[in-house]
Amino acid sequence: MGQLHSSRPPTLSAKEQLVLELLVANGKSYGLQLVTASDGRLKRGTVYVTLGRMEEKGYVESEPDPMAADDLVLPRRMYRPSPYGLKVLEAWEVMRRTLLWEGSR
Amino acid sequence: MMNTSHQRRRVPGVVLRALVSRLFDTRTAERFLFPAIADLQHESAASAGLRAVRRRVALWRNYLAFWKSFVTCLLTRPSAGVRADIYRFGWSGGVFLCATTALLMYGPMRRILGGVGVWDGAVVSLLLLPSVLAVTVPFSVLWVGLVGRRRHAAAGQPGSAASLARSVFLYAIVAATASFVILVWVVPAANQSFREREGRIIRERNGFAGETAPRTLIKGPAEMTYAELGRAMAASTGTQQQRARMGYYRHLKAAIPAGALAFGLITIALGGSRRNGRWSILKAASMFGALAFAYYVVLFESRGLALALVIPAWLGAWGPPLFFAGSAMLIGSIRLRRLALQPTV
Repeated sequence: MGQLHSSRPPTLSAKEQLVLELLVANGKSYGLQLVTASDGRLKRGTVYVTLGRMEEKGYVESEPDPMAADDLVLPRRMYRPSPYGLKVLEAWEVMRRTLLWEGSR
Repeated sequence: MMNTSHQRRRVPGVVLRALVSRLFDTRTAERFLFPAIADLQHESAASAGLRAVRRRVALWRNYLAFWKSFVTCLLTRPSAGVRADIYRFGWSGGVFLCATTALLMYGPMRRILGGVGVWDGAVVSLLLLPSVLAVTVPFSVLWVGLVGRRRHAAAGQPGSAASLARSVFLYAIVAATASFVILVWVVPAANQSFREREGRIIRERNGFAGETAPRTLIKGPAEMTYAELGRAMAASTGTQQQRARMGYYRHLKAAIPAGALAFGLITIALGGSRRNGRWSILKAASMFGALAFAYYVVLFESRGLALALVIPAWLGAWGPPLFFAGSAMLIGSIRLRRLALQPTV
């Protein structure tokens, strides 16, 4: 929950926003599902780095898929937006809309 | 559930999993890299019914994705160990550079500087410095890697090997870049000025002081830049041996800096040992001596073969870094495979 206790305001990059939006739209997903759903905007090689950073910031939560437990094959990691992540996304959307509206006046 | 070695060999990603577990802390492994390995394994299982080509393509796409994440984590995951290593490497690398540079400069300086003024002495030392640094900077990677391995306080703890590997790797990149810049741009100009000044000093010493007109010496391969060597090769009407010599020196300008990366790889591979928690300074120094000796044996052998036209010039120059990188891969993969094939309960 990195930024929850940080004095700095939370930031949301375009990629992080996309991940949160996809998780809100599709529910619990693993990395490759997000890549497929993003229509090429997320890449296989960077999706877990993005998700890992978002988890450290407290935007998403994850757990290993309990259905795929095996000694040799690693379980997929399932991601879902955290309540804090949802709040950040909502605040980001409000700020974006406000700034757009201000800019168009 | 116990899995046999045979089963483990058949599942893709088992060696990568061992590599990640060995190199990174649990948090980085579980959040950043295990998910990519899980994708690789699940996609591989899902593509079992496809044609061989499509199956391979699917597998390689996932391998590529994993390695991208791996390199990103290696370079960006913050660690207190890295800061400590930078400090430690700075010290041991700095001491090594000063000592070996002084040692290598001593012989030529002694030959040239007898009876020379302070100003000439200072300028000649400065001009000699780049060609010595071009050698000592890559070798400092080997030294700090081995000494770092010796001193790594947290050896054996999860993530400590990653921290050391990352620090060595970053140091190797910096050293290779510095060495490349020195060799390609600084050394040719410094060498040429050095030769001209040395010639003037010798003429003055031998009583030809009246000969004041500056002499411009014809540049040899060591005094030419990369581009100049390329042009000289294209315009050359000399024998095949002469062209091979120029080609060899041209490739050497990139191969020596690449040696820094190869040294980094070999120290990382040697650092993968689980049996040796800490090395004594004697062991690290002996290992350094043995590896440096091996480097020069391969260097002189491959140079001889290239200049005798037995092997291509590029292979002659790239022989030592390729040999070291290959050895590092071999040692690393044998150790990882051994680790991965250990049955887990």
